[in-house]
Amino acid sequence: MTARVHRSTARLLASVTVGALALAACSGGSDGSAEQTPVAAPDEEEPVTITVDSFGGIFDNYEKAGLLDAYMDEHPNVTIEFQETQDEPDYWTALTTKLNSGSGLADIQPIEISRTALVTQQQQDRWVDLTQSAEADHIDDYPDAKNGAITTEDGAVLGFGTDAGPMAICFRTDKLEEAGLPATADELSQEITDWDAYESLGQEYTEATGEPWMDTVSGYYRLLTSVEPVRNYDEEGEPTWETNDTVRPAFMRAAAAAEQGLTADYEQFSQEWNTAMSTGAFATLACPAWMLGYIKQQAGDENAGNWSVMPLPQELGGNWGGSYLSVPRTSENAGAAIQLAAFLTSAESQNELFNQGLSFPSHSDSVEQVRDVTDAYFSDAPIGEIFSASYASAPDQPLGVDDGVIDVALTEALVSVRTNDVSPEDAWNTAVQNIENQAG
Amino acid sequence: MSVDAPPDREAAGSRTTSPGPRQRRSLAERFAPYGYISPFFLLFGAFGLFPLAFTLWLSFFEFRLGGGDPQFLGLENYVWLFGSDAFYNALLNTLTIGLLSTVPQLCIALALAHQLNYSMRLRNFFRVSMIIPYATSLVAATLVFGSIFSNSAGGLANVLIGLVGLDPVSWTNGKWTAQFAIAVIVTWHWAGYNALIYLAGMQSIPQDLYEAAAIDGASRWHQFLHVTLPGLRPTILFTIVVSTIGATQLFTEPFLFGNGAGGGALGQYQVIAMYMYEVAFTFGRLGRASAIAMVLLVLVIALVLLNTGLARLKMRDRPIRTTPSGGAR
Repeated sequence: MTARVHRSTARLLASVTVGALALAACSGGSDGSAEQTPVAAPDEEEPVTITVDSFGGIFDNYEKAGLLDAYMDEHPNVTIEFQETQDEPDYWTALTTKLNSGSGLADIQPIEISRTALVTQQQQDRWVDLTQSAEADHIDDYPDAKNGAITTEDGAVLGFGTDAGPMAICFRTDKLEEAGLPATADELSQEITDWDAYESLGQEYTEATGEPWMDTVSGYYRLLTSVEPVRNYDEEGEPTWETNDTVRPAFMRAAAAAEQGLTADYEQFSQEWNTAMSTGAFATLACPAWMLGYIKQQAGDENAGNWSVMPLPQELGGNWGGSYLSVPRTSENAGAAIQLAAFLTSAESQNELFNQGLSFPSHSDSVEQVRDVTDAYFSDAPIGEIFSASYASAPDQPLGVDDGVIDVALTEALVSVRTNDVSPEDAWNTAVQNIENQAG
Repeated sequence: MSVDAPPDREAAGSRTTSPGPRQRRSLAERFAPYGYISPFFLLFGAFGLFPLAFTLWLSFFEFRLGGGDPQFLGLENYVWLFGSDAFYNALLNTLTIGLLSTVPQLCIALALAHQLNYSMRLRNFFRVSMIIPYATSLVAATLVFGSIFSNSAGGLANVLIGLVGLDPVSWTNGKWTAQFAIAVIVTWHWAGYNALIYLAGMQSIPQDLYEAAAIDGASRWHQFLHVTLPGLRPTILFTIVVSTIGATQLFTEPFLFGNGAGGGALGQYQVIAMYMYEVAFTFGRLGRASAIAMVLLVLVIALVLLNTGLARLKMRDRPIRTTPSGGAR
């Protein structure tokens, strides 16, 4: 659920209020004690209100899937109150402000996977260690890659996984057909055996139609890096992006594709990009599982059957996004909150969400159980099989505290290759300079 | 502030010149004025002074949005800032966008106000419509302008320049095209507001000056040059100061015009406030952002002093006649 819908008033308001709050709040200081007493199971009799601050529709989806009502029926003493922020960056800003001040936190706060490095390295004493809770067994329900990101050095697990974002490639069957190219997932999979083949097919498409093959240069870069064992950091937590075998080669490959005009001239999640999903101004895009819902929403019913999904070449797997449900230590209802979080992330709940097309599961059992699902909107593509396989082979990439800075700088540099005719080498050097300046 | 001192207080003031036990005011009476003005100062202290002082304090620390305790760095954040290319880029963009927007904006406002100052049909309608852009939500307006200046060939701006035979422009990608588009938004938003301020200033210039000028055969243009402009000088100074501050703090328009605080792939329209926002909330470095905020504050103060200083020099050259109706301040 990383979908960042176009900027809105909320974002602005957040920038203003949060700016003021951040200043007023910082004086709170740290209150974290390193050791944490185990959290017991909640009293099933006593009335309790569990508050939730959510982002990107995570709890909207739970409500849509009927899970919140189901839980309250089963636990009459529980009332769930949640609020949603659409934009994850706004949510994160507000969350960190509250963490710094030590007040205003809800009982459950979801955390997006790209923030987990900061959470596990700098906020470990602010979140409940779920290994020390009554629901500790639930942790074993996840594959290592999902748990790894939210586990601290000391082995504390700070959240239950919600959804995941296994990677695939979405494409426009109608546009490919028009261009006289293979237009079914099977045919394409035979054709696209590696990234070179993906690009050369793109060249054929671009020559035939005069239109770009991929959505954005940054999306392609995201796709290329998501399948590699490491990205910006190595297992020891050292930043290796400048010299490792992932970042620069992927940067250069994406930049070359941009120079050849294979990528459209959009920014991801911009209005024009959204519109292009229905007009077909680009033919393919990097497609984490949650992108399917995004495409359906943007492209609308009139495009049903025009889109389809194919797996990554060479049986590669990758991940983009996904979240965790975490409980701050300040929560007075930690026991009840953890029980609810465990319910919402159980295999049954995750199946329900997937069956309703809301998100892809991260629970190991659930991933197995959704294997047979197909999606009529996406030309009956076997989305269960595709995403399960991608999830299973997705690497457990180590994350770092400056991933945000590094990704922003590299993405901007790639966009400058596409839109400002900067040479890939110059763009890379600018990015290196910017990262050193901002992350130093 | 106000010169309308309450009569009570004046009376009390004159009474204290002849002190006597009966005239000594009670404690409550003596402190009442402070009580009355205290809400402003309490609010100012909490929401103005404290954040300011805290920002200053924070600018000497390394403090990450993600967590951790502040660590004292001394002046390192400032050293970093003045060695950062992105900072100078943002500073320069602020300056160029400021010039591109403020100068045309004030000229247009003057011209509008001058026309509206003459009696004409539907004058009140035109005067009221001046304020409509200002009353429009800036966010909504920027989003509309964002689609007008769309990069695609179908955007309104591209269609219009297509009519004169120019090729479509990808507005957000070029440095000057993006800055021009942003300047248009700013000008559209503020020109009417400034026109009303000028109009108010013009109302206080006595009509007989215009009549005398007209009898002497002065055209409207000469009336404008020799009657309106000198009479308006304090008002113009005021609008220049306010617009300069506004231009220095420009944020909403460029922020919403692109997609985020980066200001384009090369930072081609990233202004200083956006850079501050990016450092604080994209990169999570609150200490560094605070240093930028302090530099921005110093910059605003310096610009205002420069403006008023220049104007004072000018006024010493040609003192303004004070009109009976108090046209000059």
